[in-house]
Amino acid sequence: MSARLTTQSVTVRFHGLTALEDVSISLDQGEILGLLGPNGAGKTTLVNVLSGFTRPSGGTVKVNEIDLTRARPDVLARRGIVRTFQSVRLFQRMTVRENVQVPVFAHHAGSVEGEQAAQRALEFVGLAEESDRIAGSLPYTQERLVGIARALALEPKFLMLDEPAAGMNDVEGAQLVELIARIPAQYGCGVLLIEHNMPVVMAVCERLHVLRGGRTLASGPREEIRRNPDVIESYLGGH
Amino acid sequence: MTDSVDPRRSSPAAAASLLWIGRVARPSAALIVPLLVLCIIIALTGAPRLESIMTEALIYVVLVAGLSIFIGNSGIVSFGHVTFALIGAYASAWQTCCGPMRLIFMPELPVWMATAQVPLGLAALLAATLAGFVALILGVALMRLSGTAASIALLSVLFVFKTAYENWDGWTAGQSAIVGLPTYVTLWVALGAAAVAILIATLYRVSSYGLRLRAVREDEAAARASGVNAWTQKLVAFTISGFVAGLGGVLYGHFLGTISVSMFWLDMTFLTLAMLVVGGLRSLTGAVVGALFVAALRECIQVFERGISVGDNLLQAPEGTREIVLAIVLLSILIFRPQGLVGELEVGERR
Repeated sequence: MSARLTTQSVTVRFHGLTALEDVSISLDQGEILGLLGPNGAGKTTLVNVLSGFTRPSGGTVKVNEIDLTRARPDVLARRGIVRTFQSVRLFQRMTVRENVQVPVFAHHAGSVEGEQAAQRALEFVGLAEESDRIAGSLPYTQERLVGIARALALEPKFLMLDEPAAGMNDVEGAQLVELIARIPAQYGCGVLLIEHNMPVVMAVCERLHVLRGGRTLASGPREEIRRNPDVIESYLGGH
Repeated sequence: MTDSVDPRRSSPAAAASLLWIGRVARPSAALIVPLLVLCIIIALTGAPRLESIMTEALIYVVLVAGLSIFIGNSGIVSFGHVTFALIGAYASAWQTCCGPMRLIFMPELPVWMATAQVPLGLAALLAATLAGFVALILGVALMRLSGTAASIALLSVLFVFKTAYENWDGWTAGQSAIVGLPTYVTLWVALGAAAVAILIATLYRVSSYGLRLRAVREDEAAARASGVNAWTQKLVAFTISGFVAGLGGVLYGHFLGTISVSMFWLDMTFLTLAMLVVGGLRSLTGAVVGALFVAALRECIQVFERGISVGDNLLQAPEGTREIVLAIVLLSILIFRPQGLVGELEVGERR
């Protein structure tokens, strides 16, 4: 059965400052949804809400009809709602393989299938050869790929990638796009992609959701968003 | 190609468990065998003073290995683990101390406990289990904390239990010492206990629990995002390390034959922490090396404190030199080699 992750009227306030207001999105298994918006638009805050790191002041997070608004991050992760971090946050002094084993053991303690899930994730991002290296010694691009493999090792239903291509050059970015585009087919999960790099977003996302100042500016299919005058004016302006 | 039965091929589960036994056995043996050799050499010299120094050092190996299970894997420096040694030592005294004298030292013990003659090994196991159980109960609340907040809370545990035990006269003889514990802790008993402690610590380290707690140590947010319940993982390690530290306390009491609350106080806290820091905070090998190194260093300085006669003159270091030198060694390590003598190394482990 295909699942759908939704937020309904999510609002987040920090000490009177409104980071998100009345944001409703939905993400289906198997699709890639792009989340756009200038700095400070609330993209990461939304990911924090979806992954349980921030409790919303109002609104709900649901998978199908199950309310997960107050679930802890580790519970959500084990239920298949998984995120990566903008700053990657690998387990620095552990090997690449151990990094990817952590979520596997958290999910199904040390079984043979678990080992295979870890191996599959490393092969998928093309880092099986590096599995004995210490994570802290990896070059930047590979670090980001381990971050993605670590998330995939949980075999997510929904995967949120927070600026996975940040700091990559055009060639590396293009390779990453190709990788991300293969995730839904390989893992059957829905992907929420936060990205500034417009070519990356336009290449892989059929549907886009645009935030500005914590509110939804526009939401819809890629072509529609590309022509939306509000979006062009406020975000795609100079392009 | 042959059709012979290769267990590794016939059953992946059997192969996995074989592999796992190797992952425990090799690093444990790499620590235990050198200790055994050292003990045999010392036993062959037949010097009773040397034997007792080594016995005490091995008891410290147990205490520091216990400390290392929690600190090494969680990254939280605990100032409170000596509490579990205290609990273990007294719990063993309740069961084994001094025959008819028991009720004189501890008049409020229930009758069945005051008269019980528990075999020494069983008493040690029960006492360490009590220490582990207390760790579990305390941990339910304390393991919600991280970093410095956890360290300070653990220090307060040390204070609370010292005060409680000093005023719980009927069970602990208050501030006075309990004497006449059976002194069964010989070199070989201490070696056996050190081997058990090393085995427990290694088992935990290579298990999926150890891996998950180290993930929390490296980055708690990323660990939670990977599905790890940080509180549970800290609690598991805290309980096991409380058990091992409790065992260390039991041994210490039955090595000296006497216990008092003040033995399990700041001196022991900082000595065991210094051993772990000197050896390497994040490694079990470091815990063992550090315990032996610092114990040996202390003995050397003590020789000077007693005085060495050179010709007609007596060279004598002033009392307290031991603490000063230990402090200097600790500071030097922290400045020049903050990862400790062995760093991240684990002997017998392939990376």
